[in-house]
Amino acid sequence: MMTKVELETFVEGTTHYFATAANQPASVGSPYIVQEGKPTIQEFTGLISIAGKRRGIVYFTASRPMLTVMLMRMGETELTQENMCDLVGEVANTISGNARRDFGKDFMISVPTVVAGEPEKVVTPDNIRSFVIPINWRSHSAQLVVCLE
Amino acid sequence: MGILDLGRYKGIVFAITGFLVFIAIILAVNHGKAGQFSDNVAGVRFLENRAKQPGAVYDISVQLAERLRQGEKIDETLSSLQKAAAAFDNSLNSLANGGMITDASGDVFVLPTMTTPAAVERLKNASKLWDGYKAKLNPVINFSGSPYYTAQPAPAPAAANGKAPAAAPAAPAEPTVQYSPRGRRLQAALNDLVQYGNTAHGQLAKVMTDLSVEVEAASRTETGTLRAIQVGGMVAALLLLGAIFLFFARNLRKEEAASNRQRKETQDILRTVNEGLFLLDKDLKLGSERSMALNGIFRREDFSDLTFDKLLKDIVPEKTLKTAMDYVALLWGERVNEKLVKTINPLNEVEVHFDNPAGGFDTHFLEFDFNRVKSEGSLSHLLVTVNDVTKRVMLSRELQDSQEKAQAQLDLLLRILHVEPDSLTSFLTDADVSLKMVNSILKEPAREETAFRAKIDGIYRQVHAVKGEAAALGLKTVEQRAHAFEESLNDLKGRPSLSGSDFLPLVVKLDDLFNHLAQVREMLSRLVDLHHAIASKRSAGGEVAAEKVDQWLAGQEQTQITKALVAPPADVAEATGAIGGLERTLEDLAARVASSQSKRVNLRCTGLDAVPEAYRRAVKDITIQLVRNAVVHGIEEPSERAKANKAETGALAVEFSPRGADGYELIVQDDGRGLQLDRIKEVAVERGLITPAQAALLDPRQTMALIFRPGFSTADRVTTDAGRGAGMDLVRILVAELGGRVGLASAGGKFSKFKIWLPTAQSAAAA
Repeated sequence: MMTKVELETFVEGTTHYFATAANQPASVGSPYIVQEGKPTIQEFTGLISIAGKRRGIVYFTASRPMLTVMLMRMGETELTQENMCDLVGEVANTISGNARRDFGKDFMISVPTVVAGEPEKVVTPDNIRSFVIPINWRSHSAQLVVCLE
Repeated sequence: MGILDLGRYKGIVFAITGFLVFIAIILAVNHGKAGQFSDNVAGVRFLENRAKQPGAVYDISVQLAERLRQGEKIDETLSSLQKAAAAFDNSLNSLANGGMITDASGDVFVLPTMTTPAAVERLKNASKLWDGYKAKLNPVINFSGSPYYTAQPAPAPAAANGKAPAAAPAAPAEPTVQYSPRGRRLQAALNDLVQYGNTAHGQLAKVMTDLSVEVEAASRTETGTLRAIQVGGMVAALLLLGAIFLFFARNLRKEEAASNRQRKETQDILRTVNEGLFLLDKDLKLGSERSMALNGIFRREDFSDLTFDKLLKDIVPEKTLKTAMDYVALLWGERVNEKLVKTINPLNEVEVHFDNPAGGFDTHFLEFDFNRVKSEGSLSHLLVTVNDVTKRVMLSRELQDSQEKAQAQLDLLLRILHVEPDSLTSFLTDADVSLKMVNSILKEPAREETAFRAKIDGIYRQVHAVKGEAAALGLKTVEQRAHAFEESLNDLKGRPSLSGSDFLPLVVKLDDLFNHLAQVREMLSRLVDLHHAIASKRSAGGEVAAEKVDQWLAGQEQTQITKALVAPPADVAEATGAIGGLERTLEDLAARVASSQSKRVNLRCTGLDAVPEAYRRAVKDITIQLVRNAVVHGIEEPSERAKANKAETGALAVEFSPRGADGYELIVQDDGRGLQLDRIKEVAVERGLITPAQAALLDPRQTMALIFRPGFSTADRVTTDAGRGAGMDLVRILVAELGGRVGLASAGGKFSKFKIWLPTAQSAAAA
């Protein structure tokens, strides 16, 4: 069974990134479960795979407008697709780092991969419900999706 | 390895040693012959020198005779003759006596040529001649004293030079010399000597010259021999070297062929074997020889300069890697009991994860086996055998999982066996709807605290309904989970501020409830299958087998199970309907709650079969809450009832009746203590729902309305049956959602009556 601590670790990883890198903290929205079908996938998704004690994927998915504002606030002038991919990749990397720190000894955590505009490439394990945690930042809303056995 | 234990190098060492010995012999012979050569040269020089001596003796003899004739002093000349004779005598004797000669530096050595028969013969002849010569010489060289009379005038100074008389033809006439008798004898002996010597000295000189020639010839022969030995030795050495080369070339070829064959065999084995094999050295570096299977097992081609930790680093968690490295380090200990250490091998089933190019990981299980390789008594390597045992492990885990699942299902089965299948089905459907509703509430976007707080009450009502029905059915495991969920909600309610993070425990609990209900659903489905199986067996005449199943089931829960399972579920459903299930559920609930409260109650239900489908769920939830409330709060304990002249068993009635165009009426009435208005006010003040001043102003009707406020409860402590004050709130909301009304009548110590009016189903749907 998924534990509260595990979920908190992933959420903290995400909010930590916003607080430190994006110069403005994000708030956590009301979490929910997606039992059937695919959870939300926006234009840019940074994804890590996890194996070991738990298996599955964790991803952060955000819209282009949100990433645009984030890049601008970070002082980036080139608002290119590449930079947006890097950004969600970095968020995924921070989540991965947090997870490694908290339970890395029991887990295998992959290097982050980024999917841009191709939701079919985000493959969630079959028959596993996903936890969706909205990450609200300014007027935007991204999602952290935890899909682990 | 001992010094003589040369192994495969024995042959070459012996051959080279033989070769060196041969060369040494050649050199020794060469050296000996070279020494002989220098002796011969010295010998030739010696003999040439000695060949002049007889001539010298003769010349001195002639000179002496002349001096004597001139009457000159002869002492010095005589002395010279003595020395020359003695020198030749010595030389001849030495030569005759084994060929001994003395070179210019005074070293004495033997001239082997002097021992040849021809030389011996020559020396013998020379000795004979010399003996004759010596016989003539002896009277002369033994002469002493003066050969002249004493009156003899002193010799002229020129006589000092022996050659002077001969070299002075113009000298004055020969003086008259007066000889003493001894002088005359000397003169006679000298004449005899000169006469003999005239022929003998040439012969002796010739013997010496001949000997010299012989030595020279012998020397030439020695030189030829030496050259022959050198050439022969060189040729032999070359031949020997060639032979050694050929021998070893052949052996080398043989060994190479054998080694190639062995290498090929090893390669064949390493290419074909299914296990991953490799050696680890002390630095934990992989050896160069490995089996091909390793590539497939580790999904890589390049293993060069790879260490064991690098091999595992990217495919196992850090903890496993540390364990692996500690274990391998342990194996390198010299004083390790290998068998014992192998029994604690932590790597006999390692879970490894390979990056999948399509994303994620591919998980495999590897089995590592370690064998210590010893060389010359000390540990040199570890032989590592790796097998991919994924299939075996997966099968074993599946088996274990299915056993655990079977055990869990059996436990669950025992818990749900006493519940009627219809009631359970109905509960599962309703609970699923409730939980999905909870999830929908959670999913509503929320940023502000008010939005988060608004979710809590909605979620609470849904979970409470699930808990209530689970309790009514006696589904303890569900009830406990729902209760824990309520506690989390209660915790959130008390927090001064709320955010999405605070809701994380809720989704985890919601997930747990979903999962648990899925398990219950699966078990129910199996029960129904079993039920069908029994029915079909019976209809096919398989009474015996069916009875056995019945007996087994009866062993678990005799009355309830048989009652529930004897008829197929379809029949049950038709005969009793869902509401029939509700009636039983309410009866069970009333009995269970009464039992837990040490009370007695008799529930009577009427008209529940007339509940329209649209109200089924709501009526169920409402009646469950009201019945439980009535038993907990209304019905008194038997002793109290007895004091009040009431029957010890409380009466509780649930009536549902259609009221034509006015809709429906649901009445839940008990003959308990009624609503205690003072207590209600007191609790409402305690719970902060109203102020004491407001309480004082409330009329009975307003006081009774307080029980429908969220969070109101007169129970002293929170239990799964009562205490949080959510039940009546749920009733109020359910009725309100359907567009109905709630009426409440109560008489202290006599009764409480809840009267609920519901509109017709059509007007409810329109609403």
